[in-house]
Amino acid sequence: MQEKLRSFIFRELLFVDDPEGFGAEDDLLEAGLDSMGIMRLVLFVEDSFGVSLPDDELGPENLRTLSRLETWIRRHQ
Amino acid sequence: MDHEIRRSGLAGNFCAVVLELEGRPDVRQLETCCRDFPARFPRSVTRLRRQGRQYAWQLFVDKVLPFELYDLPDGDWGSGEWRVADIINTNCSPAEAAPVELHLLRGAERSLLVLKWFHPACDAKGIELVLHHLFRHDTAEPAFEDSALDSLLQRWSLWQKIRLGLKASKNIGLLDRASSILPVAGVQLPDALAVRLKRFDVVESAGVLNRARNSTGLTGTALYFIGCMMRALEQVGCSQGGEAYLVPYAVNLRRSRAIYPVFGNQVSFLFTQAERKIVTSRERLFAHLKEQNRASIRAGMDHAMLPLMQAASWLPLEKHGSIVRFSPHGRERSSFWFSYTGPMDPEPEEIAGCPVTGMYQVSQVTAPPSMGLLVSSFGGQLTLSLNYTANQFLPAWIDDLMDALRGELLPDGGAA
Repeated sequence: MQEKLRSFIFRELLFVDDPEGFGAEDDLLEAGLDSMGIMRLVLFVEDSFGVSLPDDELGPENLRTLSRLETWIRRHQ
Repeated sequence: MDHEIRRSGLAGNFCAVVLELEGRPDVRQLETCCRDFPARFPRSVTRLRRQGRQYAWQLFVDKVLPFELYDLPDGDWGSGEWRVADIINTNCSPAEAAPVELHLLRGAERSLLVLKWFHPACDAKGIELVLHHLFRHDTAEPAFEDSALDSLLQRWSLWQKIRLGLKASKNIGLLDRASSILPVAGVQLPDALAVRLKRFDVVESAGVLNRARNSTGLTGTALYFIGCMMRALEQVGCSQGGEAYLVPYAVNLRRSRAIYPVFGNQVSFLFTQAERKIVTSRERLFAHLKEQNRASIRAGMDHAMLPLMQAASWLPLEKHGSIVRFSPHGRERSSFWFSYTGPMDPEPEEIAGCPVTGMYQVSQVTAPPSMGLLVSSFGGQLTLSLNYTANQFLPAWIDDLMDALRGELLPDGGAA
């Protein structure tokens, strides 16, 4: 799951110097993921993993890192 | 839109980002930057030339960025603001307009650095990248830039583009069912752009952004500004009545933190619309705008616009502009123009030896709607730049609008 997320994020949403070296605990928001990027990421996740992510859970606590994002997705699968 | 803006009696599709500097910048350093920049970015010294039915950017004779210096009279800082308006209102033909120009308004203790740019040679996010590269002082090889817009278009077959284009057209058709409310009805030629600024300090700015987060969510800051402006206009009253407020807003196609591509139009756009009965309720309005934005992104409307934009580039200028502006009923579509690019990243701390203390944006508009709201964020401070056609609005009405807008952004008047 993380590989699929990683591929989408760094191909489409966020530029980093070393995508391969971006860790599961590294901060996506600090790295520059912006509001449109967040929207597109949520919609990609919902389409790709067949989940519905509640709006009221959309926050840094669930989006800040790849591992938190994965935890959030699995919670709703 | 350059043709439409000129047809409206204004200078042309010129925009500017204005940086407020402490002190007197080193002019020689600025001149060196203007000389070195085009070697890396040849596109910065092109001019628009017609090629058959389309237009293209061709290299120009001058290989330096145009740079103008103005010394402000001692103690007359106020003249800096209206000099910015002079700069944005300076007319020149599309064939002569430089993609980017630098203007320095130099005062005794404060200065303004104005980067004036010509759309679509550049866009709002692109000019921030110009700023970033202009003052980097590196000697890297010339940058080859892949267009984010072209990269997306190349992914789709002709049939996919047709389907996307039809989807976008249908969406616009649905929006056109409601007539748009406009601040003013007509045009009064000739005219010039006026600028009114409203600044929020760091505490107030945090308060605004906090309310935005609570009202329109983590991803809806722009929608909060748009919604507050709709409500402010509803409070002060608009000359041209209608059924709904309709506002286009740009969507940057570059990846976040990407420092390329710099030049060209790399934005698509979305529309947000709210009927009057929804605008009267703050809670209902923000919930509506948030849901509408989510539905637009889910439907891929930002990408769906791109084939339409590509097709439109083949139209004569007169037809292109009128299709973008007017509904089939012949009414202006947009209630006002809007821009918010978010905090600059990276934020320049100093330019030519002077600390940067603030930033705001300026943009010409068509008339109607004769009004644009541009929101900037720098150093944790928000600056609202209301741009409007000078002859069509009474100063007192603008005062009332700005007061109403402030009241909507910070409804309890205070801090975070």
